[in-house]
Order: sequence, then structure tokens, then C-alpha cells
Amino acid sequence: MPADTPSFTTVPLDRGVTLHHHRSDRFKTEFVRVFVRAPVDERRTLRYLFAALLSRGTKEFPTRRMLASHLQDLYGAGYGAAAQRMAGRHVLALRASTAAGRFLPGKPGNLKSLLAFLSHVLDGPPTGGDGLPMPDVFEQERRSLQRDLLGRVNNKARYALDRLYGEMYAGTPLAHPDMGTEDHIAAATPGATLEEGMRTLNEGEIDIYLLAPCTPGQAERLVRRHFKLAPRSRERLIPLGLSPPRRRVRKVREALDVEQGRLTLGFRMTDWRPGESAREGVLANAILGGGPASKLFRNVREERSLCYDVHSWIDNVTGTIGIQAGIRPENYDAALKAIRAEVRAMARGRISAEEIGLARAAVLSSIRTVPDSPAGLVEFFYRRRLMKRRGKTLDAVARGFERVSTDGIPALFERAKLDTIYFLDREELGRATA
Amino acid sequence: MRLRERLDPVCGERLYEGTTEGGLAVKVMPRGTVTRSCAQLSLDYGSVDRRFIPDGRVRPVTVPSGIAHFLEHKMFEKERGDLFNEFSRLGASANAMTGHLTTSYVFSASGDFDACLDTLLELVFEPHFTDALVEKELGIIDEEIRGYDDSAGWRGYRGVLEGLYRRHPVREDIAGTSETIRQITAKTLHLVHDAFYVPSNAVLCVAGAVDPQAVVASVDKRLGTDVDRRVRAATVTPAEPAQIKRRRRKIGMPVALPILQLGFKGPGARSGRDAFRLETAASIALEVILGETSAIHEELYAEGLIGDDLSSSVRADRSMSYALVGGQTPEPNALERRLLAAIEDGLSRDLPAEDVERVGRRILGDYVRLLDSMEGLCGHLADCHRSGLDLFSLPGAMSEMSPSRVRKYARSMLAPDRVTSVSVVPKA
Repeated sequence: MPADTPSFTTVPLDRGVTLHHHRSDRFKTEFVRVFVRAPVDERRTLRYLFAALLSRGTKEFPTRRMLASHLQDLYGAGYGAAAQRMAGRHVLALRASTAAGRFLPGKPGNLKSLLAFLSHVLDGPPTGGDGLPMPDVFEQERRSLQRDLLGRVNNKARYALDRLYGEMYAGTPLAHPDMGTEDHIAAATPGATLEEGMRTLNEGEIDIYLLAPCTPGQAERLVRRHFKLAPRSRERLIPLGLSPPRRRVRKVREALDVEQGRLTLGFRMTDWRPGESAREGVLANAILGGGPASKLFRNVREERSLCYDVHSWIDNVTGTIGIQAGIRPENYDAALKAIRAEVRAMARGRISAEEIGLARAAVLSSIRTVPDSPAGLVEFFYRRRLMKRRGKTLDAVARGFERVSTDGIPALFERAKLDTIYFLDREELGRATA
Repeated sequence: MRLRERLDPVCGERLYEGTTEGGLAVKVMPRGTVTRSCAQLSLDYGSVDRRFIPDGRVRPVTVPSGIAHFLEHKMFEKERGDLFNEFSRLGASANAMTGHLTTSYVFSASGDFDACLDTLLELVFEPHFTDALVEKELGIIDEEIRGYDDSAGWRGYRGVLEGLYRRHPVREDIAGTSETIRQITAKTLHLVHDAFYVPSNAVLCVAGAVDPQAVVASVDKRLGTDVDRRVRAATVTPAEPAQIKRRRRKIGMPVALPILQLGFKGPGARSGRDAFRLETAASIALEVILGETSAIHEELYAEGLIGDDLSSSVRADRSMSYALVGGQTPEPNALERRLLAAIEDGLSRDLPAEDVERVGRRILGDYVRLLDSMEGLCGHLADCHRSGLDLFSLPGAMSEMSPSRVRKYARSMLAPDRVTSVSVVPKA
């Protein structure tokens, strides 16, 4: 695909319903994703549970076993439903993919089968005579969700991140994982879950991404034939309602029986408008801790041997900069000092031409390779759509990053105030204190 | 180097294969429709190659546990600087992986492929070790080891291999321990590099927007066109008894729910093809018996004994083979009994033909989709080369897998008297 060709042809199907079609026979996979927007609110646990029910069965294939057999029959089609936070929303996402039928014996119409299958998914999960999800199935999924929530401690890096957000954004929906809290899960009922899930499917702004070797007209006909989607209101984005950054740094230490400490720092931007400084933010993150050429990797890991993994991220919806490193607890002070020195260097503009060049090259390379993966291509452009980014071609996006000045990066980091230091410590040691 | 062109029978893709005068196997799959190019250089050398007889010598030498992984880390550093940065400068991302059996170096590039390939060849074949650089790496690898030690899944996996094997070095951690890595010096790194990092012990796999002849030219330019007679050192693997070392083990960790990991000790394969059959048959059997299409999976999920994460995998090689089954469960003992009973019952007769055929369709679909992943293609080409298999023959090989053949191979892998079980349980 030439880089200056729009990656997707956008076809409005109805109010609030949009088809995005990518015509290509480059892929040997036929790929469909459906995204439905909802706000990040207290009902997200219900949507999370609803997605689990959709993953478990449809009215046509009501049991997990029947569903799995059908997907295997479609040459191992991939399918999943998930509810996830994305660009300030809670998005209900369905994905389905299969090997292109033209390469398979008898050339089966896998794309049509896939769309027919998804149309059943969009009808909602199987229900009993009372019109509600089967109580036993619902309880199984609730139990599974409770376990997933509790099991987050098994992955120490992720757990530390959860705890950091819990401290930084206490009192807001960002304080908890996408699935909500134990209380939210316990309070969910089959009726409320079905109601919220169907309301989201029927009322949320919907985007359908289809990658297949057909014309936009054929794609539109296929989707119209299989999906019966009512018009719906355009999304009105609800602000996340974040509290202002703290004045004093909050230090939290938690001890577990771990070998390695997880030092996690959260910075918040002052006076942040969601989505601002997007390109600068991406470039700045690549310079600070986005890869092996970054400041944190070179100076904290390679120069000082303080850790194996260290990385940063910038969330330009909330205006958060995060840094995490796996360190020996005894090295807490040295690691914290070294990491903060790199953040200070960003704020003071101590960024070399080499660092800028390496970061820009890494960002441009990642953009240029976006079209090589169906999933990557869809995700990249859907996120841009949510953030209302201009530039419908990858070439235009890349040009933006070639041109973006790094002059504003120090000012960006001047606005970054350290909010919380969360340290997952080894049990017998005491270091940072709450 | 002359390249031979071959055609993929399913999708019509072309593969070019050859061997350099120095003995490096080269496989190139050009894909003009993608923007990225990937290369993977894999060595038939992993963490299990701890005791070996270097080429031209008689007596074996033993090196510290974890040295293959340590060497992989140190290969990126050269006198001219860190090659990670060089790849970044070229608009590429690079990585490396050490396993029990292989070490691989990979890059994915959207820009100057020739320069990236040249850098990859320099990275692998031109060592630069000093004791100061070794010392500097100790802290980094120590933290990597500690990070893995905090992973419940990794601890369960390690526990299984320790339970299955008495002498085979697969029972040791790939990265070694804090103690063993401190025995590594620049001299020992040179010793293993000389012994195993020779072109005849490696395969270069390339996929993406590349010209096969340009790949040949880059390889010849960097490695030369002279005959290289160096051969891989001969690994000395201790004889491993068929019996397992330990039947059961419990590990306490900060986890929310216990994790059960079952391990089955299989036979060493007679050849690469034999290993493939063993691996494929046992994988099919486990998918049919315990996968989401099975009755037992539905029952266990409904009873709450498993969640979404019950999984299985199989590994087979010439010196060892094993299968793993596991996941989170509130009752590890009860789940173990049910899983073992299901496997025994499932293999007491031939598997239903329609179930095996359905898995066959899934495998064919996976093969077609693999061709969309340049990284995946490089990895599969390298794995096939190591096992003496032809990637293009894999879809056809499924036709060999009759239900009775699946059963025969699977029974040799999933024997009830060669099972170890590890429960990672919440620490009180």
C-alpha cells in the first residue's frame, strides 16, 4: 500500500454507525473489528461482564464448547469480546479474524461466515426463558472476573501499576482496573449486565473495521446484509473528572514476599487539556524511556546497572507520565535519584541531537510498519479517530512526526509534577514510607 | 552462494534457500506487499549446552550455568558502541532470545535493510568482551533473574522441569543464578563464542520487503566467501533416566489463587521429523481431550476448577521432550486428578476422527495466517531448519496424523507414570 493512500475508506452507514474499509489482498487474513463507545463510569464492570458473556456464547452457539467448535470449523477463526479503556472511553470491542478462504480447500466463504457469526454476537448473549442470561453461566463469569481481579497481584509489574493509579486517581474511575472493584463485581446482576450491555450495543457510537479483498461497495453490502444496526446518537464525550494534581509527593510503600522491588513513579501535568501535545508527547516518551535508545535505558540500566527493565509512558488523555523499574530494594535511593535526574534533564532541555534523532527514527519506523499487521492498522487508526487526529494517511502522520519540533519538550516536562511514588518492596526491608 | 527457489503449495509464496561457503544456512521469503523486513539469526546453541568438546579438542569443558544468556546480552556491545543504538539509528528495532536449545537475534526494519543485516552479522560473529563489560552486566542480569523469580508462571514452569529431569541441564534456569553468573569472565565468553557461534551452526531467516540476491550480497560482504571449516562443538549431554525426579512439589508465593502446573516427561526424539510428530500428536491430543471443544473443559469451568487460562504446550527435541498442562485453580489436587483421568481416558482409545480433523483445519488456518507475520515466519523457518523440516510440508504433514497415530505418539509423551505436578500456592 503506498504510504500516501488513505488506509481506510470511511462509509457512513447510519447516524453513529460507520464502516471503515481497507481493501487489500496483501493479507492472508480477513479481519473484522467492531468498536462501541461508552463512557468511563461506574457501569464499566457490567460492560466487562457483558463482554465475558459474549465471549462465552451466542444465541446460535450457546455454550463455550459449541462456540469453540464453530470457530475451529472456520479454520481456527479468532474471536474475542472485551471492554477496555481507550482514549478516555470505555470501549466494547469485538474482534474476529480468519484465514482468507481463497487459500483454503474448496475456497470457503470465510468472511461471510465470520460476519454472520458476528451478527449473532451483536444480538447479545444467550438467555433463558426469563429473557436474562442463564444464572449459572452468569455466576461462572462473575467468579472468573473476581479471580482475574484478585490474580492481578500475580504479575508484579502490573500490580504495581494498578496500585500507582489507585493512589494517584483515588476517588475517580481511573483508580481501578477496567473490570472495576470486588464490590462492583459482587453487586452486578444478570439483569443489569444484560441491560447495560445491550444498551451499549444499541446506543453507543459504533465503528466497524473490515479488512478484506473487496471493493468498498461490496464491503458495505456485506455489512448491511449481516449487521442490523439502528441509528444512534453521536458520542458526547464525558470528561474523566480528574482531581487536580497533589501539592506534595505521596510516597507509598507496600511489602510483599518478592525478590525484586517495583519502583513506580507517576507525574501529572498541570493545566492539562486531554489530547494536547500528542506528537511531542510520543517523541518525548521515546527519548525518556520508550526503548533501548532512551535516556532511562542507557543511563539507568546500561550505565549504572540498576535494573533490567525500565520504561516510561505518557498518557496524553489524562496528562500522566509514568515510569517503572524493577530494582533491588537496596538500590531504591540510587534508582530514584537516577530516574528523577533523567526527568529533570528533560525539563531542562538536556536532550542531545543524537537522542532526538534516535527517538524520531524509532517513532517513524513504528508508523511505517503499521500497515503490515491488520490488528495494528485498525488499532492505530481507531485511536486516531477517537482522539480526532487529522491525517488520514500514514504518510501524513509520518510527515507530522518528521516536522514536529522538540523545542516544546522542556516546557512539557516543566509542567510534569511528581505526584506519587509507589514502591513494591521486599517484605523484610523498610525503605520508603507512606 | 546459490539460492534455490521453492513455492509454498498453499498460498504460492516463494522461498529462497542456500548455504554460504562458510556454512551459514540462508532462507529468504520476499514479500513485496509489506513495508517491513525482518531477519532472525538463530544459533543451535542454548542454555543446555553447558558441557562440550570444542572443535579440535578431546576433553570436554564445563561452563557456568546461564552463560548462553549472558553471552546473548554481551553480543550487543562492541568497541564502537552499543548496537541497540545502531539499530535504532537505522530505524529498526532489535531483540534477542536465549532458550534451552537456541539463541536468536532478530531485527525488524522499515528502512535500510542492508545496513541492518550487516549490523546483525557483526553483532553475532564479531565478539568484543572485556572483564569490565562483564562486570557491568552482572547487576542487569541479576535483576532479570529476580524479575523472573517473582513470576508465578515461571516458577511453576521451572519447578516442573526440576521435577521431570534428574541430570539433563534443561532443569537449570536459562539465565543461571546470581552465583553462577558471577563465575563468568570475558575468557569463558570467548570460549563459548568460539565453540558455538560459527556460521555452520546458524541459520539466517529473512522475510519481508527484501531482494534475495541483495541478502546474499550482504552476507557475502560481511562473512566473506571463503570456506570456513569450523564446526560446532560437540555438546555432552548426561544420560537421562526415563523416570522423573520428583512427583509433587508445592511453592509458596504471593499469588491470589493457586496455580497448578503438570509436566509429562516424554522420550528423546530419534530425529527432527520424529520430534515434530511427537510434538504435533501430543498437541492435538491435548487440544482434543482438554481444549475448549471438550466436555471435560466445559465441566471443569462450570465447577470452577479452571478459569480461562487452562493451557497446554509440548516441546520435543533429540535429547528430551515434555508436555505441560496448567492454569489457576482453587483446588490443585482435585484438578490434577481430573486432568490425569481425562488424559488417560482420552488416550485409552483412538481420538474421534472428526475432532482430529477439526484441529487439522485449525492448524491449516494458522499456517495461512502465519504468512502475514514476518517475525513469525522467520521464527518458524528457523525452527524448521533446526529440526530438519520443511516449512512448506507442514500443512501436508497433518494428513499423516491419523487418530491411531496421534494416539500412539501421544501415549509415549503423556504417560501417567512420568508426571510431575507443581502447585504454586498463596504463601501464608
